[in-house]
Amino acid sequence: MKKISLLLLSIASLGLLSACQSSTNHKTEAEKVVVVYTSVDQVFSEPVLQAFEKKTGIKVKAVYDTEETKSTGVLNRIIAEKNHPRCDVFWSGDPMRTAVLKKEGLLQAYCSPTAKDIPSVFKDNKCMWTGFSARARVLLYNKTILNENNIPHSIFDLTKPTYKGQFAIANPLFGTTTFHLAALFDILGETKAKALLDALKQNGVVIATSNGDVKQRVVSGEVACGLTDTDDAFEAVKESKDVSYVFLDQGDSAIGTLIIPNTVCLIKGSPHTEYGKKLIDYLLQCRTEQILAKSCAQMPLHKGCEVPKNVPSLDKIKPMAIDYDKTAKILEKIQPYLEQWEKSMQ
Amino acid sequence: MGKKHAVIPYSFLAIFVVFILFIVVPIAYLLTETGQSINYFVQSFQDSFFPALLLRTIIIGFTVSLLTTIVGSLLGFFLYRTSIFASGILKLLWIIPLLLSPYIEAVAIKKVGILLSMPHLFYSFSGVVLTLFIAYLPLAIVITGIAFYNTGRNLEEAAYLNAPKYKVAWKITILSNKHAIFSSIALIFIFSVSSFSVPSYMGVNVLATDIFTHFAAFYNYNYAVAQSILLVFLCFLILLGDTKYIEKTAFFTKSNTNTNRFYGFSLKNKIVVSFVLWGLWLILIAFPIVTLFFNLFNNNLSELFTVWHILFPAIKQSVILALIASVFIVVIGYVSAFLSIRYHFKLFDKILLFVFAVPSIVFGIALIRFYGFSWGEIIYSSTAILIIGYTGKYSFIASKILGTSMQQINISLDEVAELSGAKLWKRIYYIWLPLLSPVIFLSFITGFIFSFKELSLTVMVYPPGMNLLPVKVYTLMANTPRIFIEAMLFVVFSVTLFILAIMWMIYIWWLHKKGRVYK
Repeated sequence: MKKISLLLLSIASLGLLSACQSSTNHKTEAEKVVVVYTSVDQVFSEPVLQAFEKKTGIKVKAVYDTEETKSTGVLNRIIAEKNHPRCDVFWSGDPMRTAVLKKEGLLQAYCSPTAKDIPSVFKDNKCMWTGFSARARVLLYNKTILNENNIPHSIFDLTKPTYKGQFAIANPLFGTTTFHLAALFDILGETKAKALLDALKQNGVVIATSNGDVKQRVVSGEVACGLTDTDDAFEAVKESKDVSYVFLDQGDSAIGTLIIPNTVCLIKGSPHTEYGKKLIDYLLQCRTEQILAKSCAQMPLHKGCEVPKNVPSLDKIKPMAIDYDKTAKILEKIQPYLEQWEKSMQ
Repeated sequence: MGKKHAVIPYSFLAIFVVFILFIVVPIAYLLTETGQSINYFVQSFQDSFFPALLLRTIIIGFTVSLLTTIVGSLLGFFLYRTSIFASGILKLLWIIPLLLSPYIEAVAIKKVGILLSMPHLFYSFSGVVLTLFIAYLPLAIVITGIAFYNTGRNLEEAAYLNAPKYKVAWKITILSNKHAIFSSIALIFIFSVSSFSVPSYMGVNVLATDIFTHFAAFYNYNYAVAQSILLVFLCFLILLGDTKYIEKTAFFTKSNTNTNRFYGFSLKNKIVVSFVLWGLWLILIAFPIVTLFFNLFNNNLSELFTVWHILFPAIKQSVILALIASVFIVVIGYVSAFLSIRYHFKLFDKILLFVFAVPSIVFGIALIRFYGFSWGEIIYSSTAILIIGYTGKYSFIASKILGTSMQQINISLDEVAELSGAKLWKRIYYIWLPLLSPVIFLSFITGFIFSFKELSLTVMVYPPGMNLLPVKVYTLMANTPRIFIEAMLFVVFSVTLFILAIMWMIYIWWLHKKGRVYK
């Protein structure tokens, strides 16, 4: 009995000690540490952060997010921490979450010198956020179901009876899918965009939980094709010889495909602002874009950044001509509609 | 005799107050902060989809809890009261789903669906019900099975004088344990209605997914908190209605009264029943798990070593954290149960129930908001916030495990010792702890399992720079090759089993040392 009691007491003491230790560490390392919250998949973001740590000697304390929580845990944390910020830098996989923070007044401006040659369309005009390494929306398709002659080349093709119940999109309330729909509202106007969504619904669009789920459904042949992002499409192609992908709406008069840059921003009142700026500078370098191009085929925004051959160049893709800030505002406006649209599918 | 004289000891009251301050106050703070929640509460009922959403949630809750309890009771009866082949091993094997996250089970079920060319059947209401059924079946088996095991043998023997065997089994063994059956229904109902990951993965909208959507997509805290209150209210209603049954349930524990003589029902068709039970286990548990890991074993196993290397630091930190949290869970559970049984102070138990019913994500937000101020730095930036979270979330289960066992101990022992001048800690040390030590150990294991696999709360509050297993696995799952994911899940599964096996061996060793035998 005594031994069990001693064991329990020891574990409890160890717990208190480790808690205190952790807290002490926080204080002693405060001088050379940067806290980063990221919604970018850990498998891709961690090596970049480790490289920064190695190069600068600044300890990176990261909080990663998970697919299961739709990568929104970190954003909710930043909002919940607004009275006493703990995070220095937020590295987002898309501009949408950054726009939420901007709207909440939780960002501070920082114009990074390393981002000078990044096109202005991918930067906030007040330097609240800066974009880098981009993904694009693509249509992933299963070659065993669709042959070259009947691959859809426009998002509007998906309303045709040929594809009835044979295509998937991720939950329209989350991630890049919601941003894609907002971009469609921006470029087509509300009436046409709603008509498109109604037509997709009528044609039996399958709602998957995430882009990763879209990828799995196409790979397994559960659906013939699905809208997803380039990183998922590249993984799918690596995983199965039966799938390929296509950039939609690339014709002269077509609307183009959505380009989704990563974004990085500095949190207002961040405890380690100077180190935060250094991390932002590092992330916005061409070198970081090259690492991301290699690991997850993301397209660099810096001109002349050399990348592997399998990574498409932004010069060869027709992008959707949108204003990211405006699209973020549209997104906020259409969310109730998207919620009703999604619920009506049940 | 002691009821009127019993005065609650200050030390236990102090623990109760500390729990309130550290865990309940943050939740209360969040509720007061989102003061306009009542307007959103009304607003949610004005949504034309809301009634269907609520109805779907309740239907899933009842379908899963009823189905699971019916099947679990039958399995519990055969496993704990009949002499089927290798029942000891089978009892342990049926526990396996409890070690896995329901989300992992959903992934496995989906793979089964694809393998059987029926993915649509599994991506739906039926998929949610099937996954939750498998996930919580061990709970139903253990709750009902142990209650059946504890049924008074003298009652059964008396009934045998004038009734056939099946009638004794039904009317005495099963029906006299209605409290356990109702408790199983209530607890599985709570787990099912508050489950977010499974319905989300299967594409079914329920109250928990709607709460999450308002938190995560719209950042509408007020609306989400309002709906959370509704969810908590729903859980509370079920539990309050069931309180009298739950209080009587031998939840996870075995009575000391029947351990000397095992009296099982003999079976005419022992081979058939054994075959059915093993067959069911193979279909419901083994098949999905094997399907999940099939590709892994069909390929190069070297992936396992890579994964082990990547996950090891996270495994180490998570194991230590879960062990520490389990100690606090046992202490809080013990104090709550002791106050409830010995001093009839049931408020602590009710509060534990309330915290248990609060969705993890809401609890996480509450902890961030409360400890996010500068005065909370020591907790917020350390593992203490995770320990607080796990303790708040899972002490209710420990309280139930310990409480039901305490009920079977003669309080007079304590009262006599008190009258003879023995102080509280001496009485606890020499009377209560020796009698309760097996269940303390069991509470510890349960606390460990739940803390070790908790994801939603962990991802909301874990300190920057920490490397924790659930977060690591789920973040890596998002964009890694399928074979790597399978290797990760296999490592997590094996590590959990390994740790539990070690704990189990310690438990058996301890029992042997004390001259007792596990049955």
